[in-house]
Amino acid sequence: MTQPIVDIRNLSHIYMQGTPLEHRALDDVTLQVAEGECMAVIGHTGSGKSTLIQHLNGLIRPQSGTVIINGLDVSQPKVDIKSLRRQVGLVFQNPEDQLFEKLVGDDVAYGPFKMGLPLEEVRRRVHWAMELVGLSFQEMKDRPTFALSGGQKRKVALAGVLALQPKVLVLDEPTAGLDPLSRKELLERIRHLNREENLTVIFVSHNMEEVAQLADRVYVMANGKAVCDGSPRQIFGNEELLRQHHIGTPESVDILYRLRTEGYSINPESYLPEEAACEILKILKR
Amino acid sequence: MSAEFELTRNITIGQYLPTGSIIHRLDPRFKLAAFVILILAIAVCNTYIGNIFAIIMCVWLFQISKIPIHYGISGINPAIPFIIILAILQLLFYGGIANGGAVYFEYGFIKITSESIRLVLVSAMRFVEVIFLSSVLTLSTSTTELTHGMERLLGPLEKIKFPVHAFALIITIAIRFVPTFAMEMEKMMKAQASRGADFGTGEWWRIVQRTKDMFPIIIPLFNVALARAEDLILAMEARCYIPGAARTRFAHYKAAGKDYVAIVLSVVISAVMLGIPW
Amino acid sequence: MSNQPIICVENVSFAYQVNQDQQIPVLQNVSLEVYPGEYLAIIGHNGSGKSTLSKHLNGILTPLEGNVLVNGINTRDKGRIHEVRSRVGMVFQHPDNQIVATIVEDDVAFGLENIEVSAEEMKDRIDFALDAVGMSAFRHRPPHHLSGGQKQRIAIAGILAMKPQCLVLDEATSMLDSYGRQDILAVVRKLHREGMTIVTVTHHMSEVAEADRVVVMEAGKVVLQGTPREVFAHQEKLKELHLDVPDASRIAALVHSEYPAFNPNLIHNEEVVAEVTRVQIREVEASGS
Repeated sequence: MTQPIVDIRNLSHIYMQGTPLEHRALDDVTLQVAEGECMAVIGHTGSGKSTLIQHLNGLIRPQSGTVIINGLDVSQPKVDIKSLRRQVGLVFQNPEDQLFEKLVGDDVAYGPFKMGLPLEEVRRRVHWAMELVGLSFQEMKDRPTFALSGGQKRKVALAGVLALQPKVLVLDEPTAGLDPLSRKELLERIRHLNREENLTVIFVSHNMEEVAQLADRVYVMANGKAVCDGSPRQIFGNEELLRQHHIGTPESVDILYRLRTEGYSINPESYLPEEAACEILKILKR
Repeated sequence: MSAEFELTRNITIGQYLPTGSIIHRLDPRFKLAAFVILILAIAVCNTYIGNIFAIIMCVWLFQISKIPIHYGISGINPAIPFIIILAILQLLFYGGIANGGAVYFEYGFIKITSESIRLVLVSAMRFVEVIFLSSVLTLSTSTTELTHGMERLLGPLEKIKFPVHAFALIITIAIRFVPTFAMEMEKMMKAQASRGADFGTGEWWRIVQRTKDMFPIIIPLFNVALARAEDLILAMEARCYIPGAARTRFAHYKAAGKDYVAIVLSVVISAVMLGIPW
Repeated sequence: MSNQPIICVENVSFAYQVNQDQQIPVLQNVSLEVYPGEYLAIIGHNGSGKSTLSKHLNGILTPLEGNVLVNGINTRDKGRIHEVRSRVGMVFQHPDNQIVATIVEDDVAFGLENIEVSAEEMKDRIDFALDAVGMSAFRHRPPHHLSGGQKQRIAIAGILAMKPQCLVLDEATSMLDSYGRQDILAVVRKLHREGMTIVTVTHHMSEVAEADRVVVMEAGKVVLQGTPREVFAHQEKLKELHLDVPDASRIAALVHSEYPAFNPNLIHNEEVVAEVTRVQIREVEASGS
C-alpha cells in the first residue's frame, strides 16, 4: 500500500486541561486517508469532528499522538506550517462569512497573494479556481462580493481555498443552510474535484443524504473516539450503530429498515433511493 | 502553541458564573450601587496602603463569591500592554508637570520623582482593582440583573427624557453577544489563517502592515455583526418590542438585610481607603 | 374548515426599494388564508418570496399593496400591532440571533415584558412555555452553552409564553443537525396536536409531508397549492422549480414506473411499507384464486 496522504495515529486532545471545564475532545484517534479518497466524518455534535479536522492543517497542534500530512509531521514544533496550510485547504462552516474584499476576484486571490506568487501565477490560479467551482472568471471576477447570493458566496469562499492548490480539501458542513438547488450544485462540484481533479476530500456532515451521495468512506465519531470506519454501505446497513450514536438515517435507509422489520428480506447494503426502489421491485416481482 | 487561536477563554466580561454565593444573591440595585461607591473610592484613592488594602478587599470578594481568582487574573492579561504604556508615559512626563516629592533622576525634560513613581504604581494597582471588581460584578450578576439594577438606579433620569429602558437593553444585548463574537472572531482567524494569513508575526513597528493584516478579520466580523443585528431586530419586533413603549418587568427585587450590609461595608471600605494617609 | 381564518392575506404585493426609482418585486398579488388549527407549509427555492410572505403574517413587513388581516386586524394598524404579534408568533432561522437575555428564563420573559404581563402571571407563563418545549431544567442556564436545537426550543418557548394562536417557523430548522431538527419537529407536532396553528417555511421535504396543506411559491407568486400528496404528485413541476420531493415519493414513483400497480402518490416512509404489503397480498390473492 502506498503512503497515506493523511496519517493520524493515537491522537488525543484535551481542552482547558487542568481546569474544572476540562474536556477530552479527542481520545486516541487513529485514521489514515489515501490519496484521492472522499471521506465523510460524521457524529453527533460534540463528538470531536471539528477538533479533528483542525488538526489537519495545524490550527490545533497535537498534544499527544502524531499527525503526518503528505510526509509533513505536524507534531514537530519546527514544521513549516505555511506549507502545510497550502497542502490542506480547510473550508469552515458558512465560509461565505469570511469574504472581505470588495471584488470576487480579489478575494479569491488573497491566498495566492499571501504565498508571494508572481501576479501572472496568481491570476492563473484565480481563473482556475473560479472555473472549478463553476464561477465564470470573465463574468464574475469584478462583481462585488456583497451582491452575490448565499450559494454564490459560498462558491467564492471555496474558490479562495482551492486557489492555494491544496492536495487535501477539508470541508466542515459544506452545504449547511443552502437551498436544495445550490446544495445539489455544490455537491456536484465537490464530487468533480474529487473524481476529476483527484483531490483528497474529507468532509464533516450532518446531512446523511449528502454522505450517502458523496462519500467512498465514512468515519463515525462519538465522544472523541472513532466508533466505526467503513464504506457507506457498511455504515448505513448497521441500524444499531446509527441509533446508538444519534446519527440520522437517510430517508431511503429508513424505508429499508422498516421493510426489514416487517419481515421482508432486504439487501442490507443498499442505501440510495434508486437502490431502495430496486429492492422493493425485487420483493414485488418475487 | 496549540492555544494560538483560543480567544473564548480570555474574555471574562459578560460571563455569568453561577455559584450561588451571597454576592450572587445580592439585590442587583444594591450591588451596583456598592460597585459604584467602590469604583469612586478607587478613582480618588492615591495612597499605596489604601490601594493595597483595596486589592486585598478585591481578592476577598473573589473568595466570598466563590469565583476562582484566575478569572480575574485572565482579565488583566489583555490590559498589560496598556498598563505598561501608561506607566512609561507617566514615568517620563508626569514628574516634569507635577511638582513635589523627592527627585530621583533628571535628564532634560524627563524628571522622575517619588510622586511620579507613586502615580505609576497606584495607576497599575487601580487597573487591577477595577478589573477585579468588574470581573466579580459581571461573574456574579447575570446581565439581565445588571441592566435591571442599572435601569432602577438611572430611573430618575427618565424625568429629563433620558431613554433609560432603551439604554439598559442596549447594554444587555451588547454583553449578551460578547461570547458570540469572540467565537465568531476565533473562527474568522482560523479561517483566514487557513488561507495563509498571519497575524502579529510582522515586526511590531510596522503598524500599517500589522493593521492591514487585521482587515481580513475585522471586515467580515463587521459584516457578520450587522447581519446578526438585523436578525435580532426582527426577532425582537416579532416578540412585540417597540422602542420607547411601556414594559413590565419579570424580575422583582426586594432589598433584604444583606443588601444594606453590602452598602454599609462598601462605604466603610471606601472610608478606610481614603482615610489612610500613606 | 367552516370557521373564520386567523390570517387573511389579500392580494398582497411587496417590493424592496433599491433606490429612489428602482424596486425589486418580491411578492405579486398573493392571496392566502390560514385557518385555525391547520398545519401549513410554504416552500419555494431561495428568492421565491416565501420568507417575505411569512414576514407579512405578523406585520414585520407591511404590504405595498393589498392587506393582511390577523383576526380581522389589519397589520397596517400600528396601534394594534401588539395584538397581531402576540397572536402570530414567529421563530427565525438563526438560533443565536434571537436570544436577547443571558439567562434562559429572562429570555422567555422578554416578550411578556413587552406586552405588559404582570410579574406574577409571567412566572406561570414561563413555567408553562419551558415545560411545553421540554426545557424546564435549563431555565437558569446561560443560553450560549446550549446546542442549536435547544436554542431554537428556547426561541419557541419565548413565543409560546405569549399565548399565540399561530406559530410561524421561518426556516427554523435549517441551521440544525438532523438530531436537533427532529427535536424541533417533535415539539411542533405536539403543539399542533394540542391545537396550535402552524405555518412553516422550509426546505426539508420530510417536514412538508407532515403538513395539512402546502403552498409552493415561485417568483413572488403562489404556483401550486394543495395537500402534500397533491403537491408531491407534481414531481416534474417541482423539479422545474428546483424543489425536492420526499424520498418516499421518489421511491414510490420509481417503483410505479416499473410496476404500475404500485401507488405512486406516497409521501410518508411508513406508507411505502404499507403499500408494499398491500400490493403483495393482492398478488398472492390473485395468484391463489
